[in-house]
Amino acid sequence: MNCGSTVEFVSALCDGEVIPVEAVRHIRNCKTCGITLREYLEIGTELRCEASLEPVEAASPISWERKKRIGSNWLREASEIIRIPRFAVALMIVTILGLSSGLVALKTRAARTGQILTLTLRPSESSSGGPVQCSMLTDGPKIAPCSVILAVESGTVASSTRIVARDENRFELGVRSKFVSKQAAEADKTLESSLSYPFKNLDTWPEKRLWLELGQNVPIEIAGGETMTLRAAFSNEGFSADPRFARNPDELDVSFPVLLEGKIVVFDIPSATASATSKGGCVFMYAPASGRYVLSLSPFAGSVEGRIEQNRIHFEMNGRPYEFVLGAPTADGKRIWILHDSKYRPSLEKEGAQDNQPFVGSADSQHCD
Amino acid sequence: MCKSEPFRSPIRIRRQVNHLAHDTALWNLICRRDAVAFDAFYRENAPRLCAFLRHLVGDRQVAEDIAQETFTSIWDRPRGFDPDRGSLRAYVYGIGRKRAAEWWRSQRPREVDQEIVSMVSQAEVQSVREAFFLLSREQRTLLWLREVDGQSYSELAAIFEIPVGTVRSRLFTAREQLRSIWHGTRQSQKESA
Repeated sequence: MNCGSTVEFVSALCDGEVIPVEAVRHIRNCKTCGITLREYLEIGTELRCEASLEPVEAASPISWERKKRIGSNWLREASEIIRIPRFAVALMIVTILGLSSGLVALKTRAARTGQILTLTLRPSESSSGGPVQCSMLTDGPKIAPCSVILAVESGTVASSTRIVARDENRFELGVRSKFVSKQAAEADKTLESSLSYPFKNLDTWPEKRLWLELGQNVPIEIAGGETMTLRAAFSNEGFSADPRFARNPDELDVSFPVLLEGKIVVFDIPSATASATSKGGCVFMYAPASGRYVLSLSPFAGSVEGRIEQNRIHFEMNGRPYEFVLGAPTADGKRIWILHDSKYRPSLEKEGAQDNQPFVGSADSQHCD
Repeated sequence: MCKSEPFRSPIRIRRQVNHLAHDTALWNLICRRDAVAFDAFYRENAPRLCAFLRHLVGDRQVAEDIAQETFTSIWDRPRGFDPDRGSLRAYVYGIGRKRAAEWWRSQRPREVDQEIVSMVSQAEVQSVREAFFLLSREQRTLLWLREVDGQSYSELAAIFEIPVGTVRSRLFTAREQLRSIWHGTRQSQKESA
């Protein structure tokens, strides 16, 4: 080793550090390094002496008693200032923008008339029955379930399918199904009638949850040994492809109505349907806090005109926008008339009627006033 | 060399294990808001911290203020000390050093530093102490903590938040710088004589 490579170890030696053997040997034999070591030690000694000459003052007394805390810890800490790097702030802004744009997209999707999903239910191959199709909306606060009744060789299958969740082109479906064999139906006539639409006690049927991708065939086992295959596709033809939603020109159908004033829900009447089939007929809805709404495909006194878009009815009243969202398409045409009677109470029309129960009903043209 | 007052020997014996146990116990007391324990800790360490800060900021009153702020901040919010990273004393000095740096940032550029440097020029250096003031602030701090306060390499590493190897090389650079100033002065004094 030479002086150049040893001199840092001389400094370390002054500090009481252990240094390599080669460095020690060099320092012992090298006059220059010996002088450096002495000078370093001398410097340290001088500094300590100078420091010793400085007057050392006792620390000023401070009271370290407990201070009465004002507010809780989290409140105090929340009011303190923290330092955040600029890139973190930028990242935060980008994240907020991203999330808010996602919310906007979500709102937009919720507001538009959703795509129509066509479900194809095919009985097992051993059965003679053919496939059955039904369509359902994919967006909106109320989506009517897809209910079908299939006649198979050994009996009857009834099924009700609802959309539980959606992830782009994947749907989580809740399928309730029931099978009644021919022998069982012959023995107990009430069984057969239980499979007529609308299904009775549907909530008591066990529900199977499954994720279904578009175009995928998913087999479903039904209690009683039957199976059926479920397949989903978006329908380009809308509801017209499904005979279930084919409406006569005079037919007005209302199911599971929700009324929105802007984005505020005025009322929501679940599991209620009504149809008016004659010309000039009407459907009416009553909600305790809102009174009665009367809907007709023909204009009538006091009504305002609205616009039909499949399962939605848009109209304005007193300068405010309203929208009915229904579980299924409401009529074949595009025009509809709506009357709002906020003072209506069922008890005024019929003695003993309950004013606190919402309901949906229909009437022919003679009884729509 | 030493003149009137007896030399106060810095603690140079390594008592790391004892320190660790002592520091942890003391820290637990501070966290439990034991005012007596903290006052003893303050009385023991505040004068030395104050002396150290005086060399950092060059002003006795400012150094005292910073030392008090350092201890007050620890008392008010006792958190952040990790025994695995260094001693409690190193932790306190680290906070003091940061507060002194903040104070420097709040001052007008170079105002006080120039004042200290102007106290001596290289030609007027009569003692190691005067040569000491010609070093950079960081070199002064490091050398003071090592030679006068007796901080170990690991404590210096904790205070300056640098590796131990860097402490070793920076100490060498500071010593060499000081020796060169002092040596050069003595040479010129001999030649003029």
